[in-house]
Parts: sequence; C-alpha cells; structure tokens
Amino acid sequence: MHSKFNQSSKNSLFVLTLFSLILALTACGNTEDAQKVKDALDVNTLDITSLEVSSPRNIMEITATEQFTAMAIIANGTKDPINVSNRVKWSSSDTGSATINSSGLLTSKALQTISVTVSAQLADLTASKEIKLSNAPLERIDILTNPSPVSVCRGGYQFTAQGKYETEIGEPEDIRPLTDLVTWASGDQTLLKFGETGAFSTYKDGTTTVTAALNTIEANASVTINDDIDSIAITAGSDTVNVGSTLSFTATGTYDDSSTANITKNVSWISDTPGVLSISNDTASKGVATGVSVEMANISATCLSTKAIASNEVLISVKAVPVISGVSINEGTASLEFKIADSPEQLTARLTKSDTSFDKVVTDDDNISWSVKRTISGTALTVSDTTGSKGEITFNAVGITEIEVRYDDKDANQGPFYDSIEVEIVAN
Amino acid sequence: MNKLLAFALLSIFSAGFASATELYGEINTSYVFSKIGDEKFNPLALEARIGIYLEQQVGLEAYYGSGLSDDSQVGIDLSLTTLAGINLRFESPETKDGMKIFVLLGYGMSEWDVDRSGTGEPGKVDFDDFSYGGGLEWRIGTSENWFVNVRGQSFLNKDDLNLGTGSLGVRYAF
Repeated sequence: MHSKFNQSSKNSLFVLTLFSLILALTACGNTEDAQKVKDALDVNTLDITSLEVSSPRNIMEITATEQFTAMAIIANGTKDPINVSNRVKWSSSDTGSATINSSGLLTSKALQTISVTVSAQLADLTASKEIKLSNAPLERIDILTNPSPVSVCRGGYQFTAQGKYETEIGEPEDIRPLTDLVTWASGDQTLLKFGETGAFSTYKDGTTTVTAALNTIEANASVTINDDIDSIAITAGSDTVNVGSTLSFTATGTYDDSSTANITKNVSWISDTPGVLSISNDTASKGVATGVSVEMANISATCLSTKAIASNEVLISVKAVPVISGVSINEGTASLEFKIADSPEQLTARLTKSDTSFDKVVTDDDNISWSVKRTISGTALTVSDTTGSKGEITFNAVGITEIEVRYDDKDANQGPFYDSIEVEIVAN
Repeated sequence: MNKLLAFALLSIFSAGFASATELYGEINTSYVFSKIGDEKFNPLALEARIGIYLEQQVGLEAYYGSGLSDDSQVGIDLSLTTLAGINLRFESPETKDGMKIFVLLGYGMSEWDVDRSGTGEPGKVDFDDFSYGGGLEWRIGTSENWFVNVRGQSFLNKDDLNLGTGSLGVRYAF
C-alpha cells in the first residue's frame, strides 16, 4: 500500500509538473482580438458615427513624409470631433511606394504608383484619403512671405515658401507649399535665429540674408531689422527667492509704433551680483533666475541693438531656505477664553518655519505631546495626550491654566520645540 | 485550439498514471461575468465536465461549454460561443455532513461573438488565459455517486478584458 501510494504520488507530481510546464509554455495573449472588442466598445461609447482622414497636402515628394490625421465624427457631427490618430489602424494601399506608421506618418519610398490611398480603421469604421506621389524635380523655391522690415529683439515672425516643380508641356503648373520642408537658415545668427518651420526671432539690428533650401535648390531673401525699440520693462513674480529656487522674469518691449511685445527670450539678462542671484541666457531657460546665496541682487535686461536700450532694474532678495524652527499652538495665539459649557475644545499645533510661515498641522502627531504646564488660578483643566484626541481640553470649573505642547522629531532632527498658551475658563 | 488539443492529449496521457480509476462527469449552468473596459455583460452558459482522479483528492478535468443567451450593452451584443479548458481540481477531505471544498487551477479558452450595432463586427474573437477558481460541494443525501456544487471560476483577466462564471452543478462519480 505504501509503495503504491508513493508511486501514485510520483505520478501525480509528474502530471502536475508537465501540466504546469505546458501552461507556462503556451501562455500568451490575444491582444489583437482584445483590441477589436475594445475598439467596437469605444466606437459605441463615444458615439462615433464616422471617421475623416486628412493631410496638409495632396501631393508629396519621394522620400518625404506627410502627417495624416484621423478625426472621429461624433453623433453625426453634432458634437466636437475627436482626434483618434493614435487609436486607429493606419494602412497604405501600396507599401512598396509608401509606408505609414501607427501615428499616421506616411513616408514615401519609391514611385511605384502615382498615388497611394491611406486608410484609417477603428472597429468597422474606415476612412481614407488619396495622396499623389511625385518625383518631378524641384525647379525653384519661392519665398512667399517675407515680413521684413522687422523690429529688433522681437519674435513671432514667419517666413513661408512654396516650390515649383517641373511639368510636361501642356500640363498645369505644379506648385506645392514648402514652408515645412525647406531648411531655413540665417546669414547672421547674432541678428536673427530661426525656430521651427520658418518662424524666427531677432536679437540685433542690421540686415541679413535668409535662405530656404531643399536638396540643391535654394532661395534667398534679405531681412532688415530696425532698431525701433523704445523701452524695456521687466517684471518678476516675486521680490524674494530662496537659495536654490528659481524665479522667472518677463521682459516687455515697447516700440516706436507704440506696440508692445513679450521679448523675454530676445533680450540679454544681467545680474549685478551673479554670486547672489544668477540669471540664465540659455535659449530654453532665458530670463529664469536662480538664488545662489543670501543677499540682494539687481536684475536687468538689455536689447543688444545700436541704441542699447536697457530695462529697469528689479531688486530681488535672496533668502535662506526656511527650516522648521518651532511649534505653535493655535497659530501663535497667546491666550484663549472659553465658557464652562463649551467643554471640550480642541487646540491645534502647527510647525513654524524660520521665515515665520506655518508648516503642517501636527496636533495629533506621534512626535508631539500635550501637558498642563501650570495652574495659574482656580481649577485646572485637562488636556488629552492620547492619540486620536491629542490637544483636546476638557473643563468643568473656572480657572486659568497654561497648556504646553512639545514637538520632538528625532528622526528628522527637528526639535525639541515648545509653545504654551493660557486658557481661561469662565462661568457660563 | 491547438493548446486545448495539447491539454486533451495530456488528459489522456495522465489517465494512464491515475492510481484511482474513479471518473466523474458534471453539468453546470453558469452565470457569466464578462467585462470589456467598464461595460459588464452577463449572458448564461451551460458547461459539461469530465474528470478523472489522479489521487484521492486530486482530479484532472476537461470542460466544454456554450452560451445559452447573449447580453447587450451600449449597442454591443455579446454571446459566449465556446468555453473550454482543463483544470486540476484539489479537494479537501469530506466533512461528516458530506461537504468538501475544492480549488481549481488550469488554462481556459473562450470564444466570443461580438456584434457592434448589428454590423456583425468584430464577430468571433477568442482568448486564452490561466484560469483559477474554487467552490463547495455537497453529497446529495446518502448517495454514493451524486453531488451538487457551486463554483466560481475566472477564465480571462488581461488586456482590460475579464471573463468569469458563477455556476451551479451536479456531479456524478462513476
């Protein structure tokens, strides 16, 4: 019997092991089917009645990219559409000519067909758009919009460009927008710098050349930057900053035509005592000051134009980082008065900081203890030091009692701190 | 389904190792708890089970079920077309009152038929996942062979999809 049991146990153990092994080896998901079900649910939950697919252009070059967008039409257009470009399943009708990624970015690869149809699918809803592919050589680039002359130390200017492509005789002109495709360059980056897709800012007055280039074709334009700034006013969100903390400044320029503009990113920022308060002139953080040491420092800004207009100065006090410096009962109240009928009453303890501000409430904290310090007159009241009711005072007779609170957080090296309050109980 | 075929073969293979040759069969009516995202669907299903004791308190059972009804939420109609899988069943000793507790551990496959607003889409979808559950069982009167049980079992819990059943069953031990 014993041997039979052992053999039986071994058999069971073997089957169990084999069973577990097969489960482990075959465990996998069916994410595609799950997505189908969830898409169907989303379509009905959001009341999506159809999809629309769009792209900025109707024709694109080979080895270029074009961003497609899928919008869900809600309740037959009676509600705002929802961008579902990252939810739909994108497909290209000819992946040899162009492929599309999961975000709807189409990349043309070869001219195998004259056009591809881009489709977006969400559940059983589909929408598509055809885009032509062209390997026609670019003939020339035209700079369409040149905002010159522009103001110094100012941003928000925009160039636009279009391209003319070669066509057969008798065919209509092939003109396409190229602002996003060309590379914009400034002849003098101390005067003018480009941001994204033809947007630029100015930093000094003068004249420079701007180039729009695609492959080997380029177009040039001249930009004149006028020194027409009248004044610069700078402001900060606060007149103090702690050591190690940052403070953002804003510069506003006023121009000859009385217009104003936020020129925070276009001016040069100056601290008269960088060892106290430094200020950044890096592109990403321009106008952001950082407290270095405790003292006062002036911040100003200037436009690097011929007139060298300087701003007002803003005096900033750099302070030490406040630390927990004490505890206070009822936010520093020296005394309280209650009627006997008011019993019980709750006292509150808060930590205080070195800058006299209040920190967290610690009335019932593990590190706090409440006690009667002394009875000044009459009958003493009682104060609870039991977790859950710490700081609760109970009384049934008139008298004046001084209550003390003690805070000592050894782990955080805070304390011990003490505060006391006189509580007078009067007749009803 | 290939996985289930593997399990079925395993079951046959396992039977050869069984020390006790006690077989059992079981019929369950099940209330299905399925969830897609935040929407709950509760169709009914019928399951049949056949099992063999590998040990006195360890059984290996295979089951197959099908939906008896469908359920609709937000225009989505869901029916359970197939529920199949294999469990190891671990039982407690029977009490004086004839009751025992059992725990189930296995792998299950479910096929759903999903229809969005009468479009027929996305249609049949299937999932597989580890399954687990348990229940209580009582001997019917002084019968040697008949038992009644209640069981709960989870069959799918991934990709924001859930499927489980609460069942009432009758088991016959051969």
